[in-house]
Amino acid sequence: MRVRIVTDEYLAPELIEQLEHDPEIEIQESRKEENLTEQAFAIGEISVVIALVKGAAALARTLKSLIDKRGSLASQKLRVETAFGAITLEVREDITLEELREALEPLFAAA
Amino acid sequence: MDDGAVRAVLQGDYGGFNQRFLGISLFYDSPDNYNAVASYLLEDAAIDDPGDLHSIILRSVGDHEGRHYIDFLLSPYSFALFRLRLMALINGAQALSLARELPGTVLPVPLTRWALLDEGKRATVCADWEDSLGERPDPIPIDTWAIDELQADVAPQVTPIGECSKTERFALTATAAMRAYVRIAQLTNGFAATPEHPFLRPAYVHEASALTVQAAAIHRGQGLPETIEFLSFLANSELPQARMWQKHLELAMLLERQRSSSDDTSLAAIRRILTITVWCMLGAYPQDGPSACPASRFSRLMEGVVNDPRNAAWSCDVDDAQDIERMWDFWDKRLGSTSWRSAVSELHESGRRAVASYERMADSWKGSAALPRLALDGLEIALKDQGQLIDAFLADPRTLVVAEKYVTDEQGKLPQPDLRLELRGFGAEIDPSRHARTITRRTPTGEIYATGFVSTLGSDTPQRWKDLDRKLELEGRMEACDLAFSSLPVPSPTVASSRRGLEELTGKRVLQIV
Repeated sequence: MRVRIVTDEYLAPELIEQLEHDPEIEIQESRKEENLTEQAFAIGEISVVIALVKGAAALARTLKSLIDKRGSLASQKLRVETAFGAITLEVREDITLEELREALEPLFAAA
Repeated sequence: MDDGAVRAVLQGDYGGFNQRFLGISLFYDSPDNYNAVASYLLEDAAIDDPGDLHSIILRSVGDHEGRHYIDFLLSPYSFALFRLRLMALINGAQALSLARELPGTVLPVPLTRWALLDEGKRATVCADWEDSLGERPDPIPIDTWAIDELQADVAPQVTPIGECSKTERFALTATAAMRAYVRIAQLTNGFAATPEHPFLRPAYVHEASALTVQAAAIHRGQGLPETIEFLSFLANSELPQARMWQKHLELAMLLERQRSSSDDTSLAAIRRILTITVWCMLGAYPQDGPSACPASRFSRLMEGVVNDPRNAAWSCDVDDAQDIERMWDFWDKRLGSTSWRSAVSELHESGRRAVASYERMADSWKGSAALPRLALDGLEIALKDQGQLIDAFLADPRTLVVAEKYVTDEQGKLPQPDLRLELRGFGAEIDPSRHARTITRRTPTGEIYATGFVSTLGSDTPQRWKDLDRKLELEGRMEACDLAFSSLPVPSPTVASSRRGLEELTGKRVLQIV
């Protein structure tokens, strides 16, 4: 499924690196966009990554690896969008793989 | 500290003003942050009073966001955007209510983006959906448009729809909504940004204004070291809002040098920034069109001053109201703009005319007029605050352009925006005694908890609470309409409920174009 992931410009390179490592994910496009909607001291530009992802489990696994690698992401948010919806993940250091998968699953469910 | 290091200590965002909600929102990422602000506001901050940038911003973000609300009311360009939003909502909601009658089983969102895709690209999107759905999607019929067709000016017209089929009515109202959203995107982007100066956008003129007010609020409420810390961040950051603030400071220093022989003009120049931002926001959009864009006005002003450096008429005594007005008159004349006075008076007058026109529309509406009435209420609520603001501004422009006066003036002189506190990633217990509307969610086990509070500031009359409820209702309807028609981001918690609402209303499967 085609997935759009929006994050801040600082996290994007590591996110892309993690996505590239997963055989169930294929990056199609990445670009920067201006964030004009809200005051965001830490986010000047946003980065958008479009990827083909085989399922919620694959994306959850990749995001969990990113969080484990980065440690605290207290100020980080990731927005994930698919044909079936969108969710903004408020990423915590102690978030579990299961929590991530549960949060992402509705975005991959056709029913 | 470089921007990467700053990002590591700062919250992602501290607050927001979005025209969907006619008030301001403050965001808290942790109970500690929320409690720190509460204790600061109660003047009990001595126990835990760190002077780090995060705490400085956390305590002053309300002043920042409040200024966004004031600037929105004052700027004809911003207010034109708000009126476009109302038109998008009225037309968009009508179109969506007719979508049930259309053939097809899928509502592709955003509809404006779908309309701009040619047949080949639509087929690619459908193929992606088919992979996920396991069946061939059947989108509702929508004509393909080119962007310049949707951007083209269309003379105001009233199309009798009594004899139109539902399909024709859908096409008419959906196209009107899409035209409004395309125009909103165009105005939001502005007309001045270049690859070298990507931050020359209207929103960043508003940021330069709000950041200057925030610095003054920090000076008043927290102290000089905290102000220096904040100004140092602004002066050195590469973030676009900071870059735009730096450009304003650059121009302000040129103006300051025209009146001062001092070598170091930077601190005095900061006091000039609001004379620049306010004038930039006073472009007469209905008369001057794209050249009323605040960022375009900033570019033209900078060019005018740079090309005429010895002419003191470009500058003024910031503490003299008449001299500020004289300077703005000079800027208008030299730069060929409609006078700022005309822009302000026409702003409110055209709003009043729009109210009369909305009333006629609601009276002659076929079916339930609830939505046009809601849009009408939203417009009237905004105009009430706008009238108060314009009176205060015309009586003395220093009310808005002298930052230290703006942050110390007595309450009640300027309109007070309603305030929403959003708790992100944590919740609070429901407290029925709290004088606020509570935003709630349910835990997986069904327990209800609070994720935010919305309350009126300043006046506490029944009418004010009634207005607040209408604002919240308007926000919800705008979010659903934005989700259906535009790429404007909709808050995550409302995406799911808005999608469900759209599916119930239209009887179609809502599928997002990724």
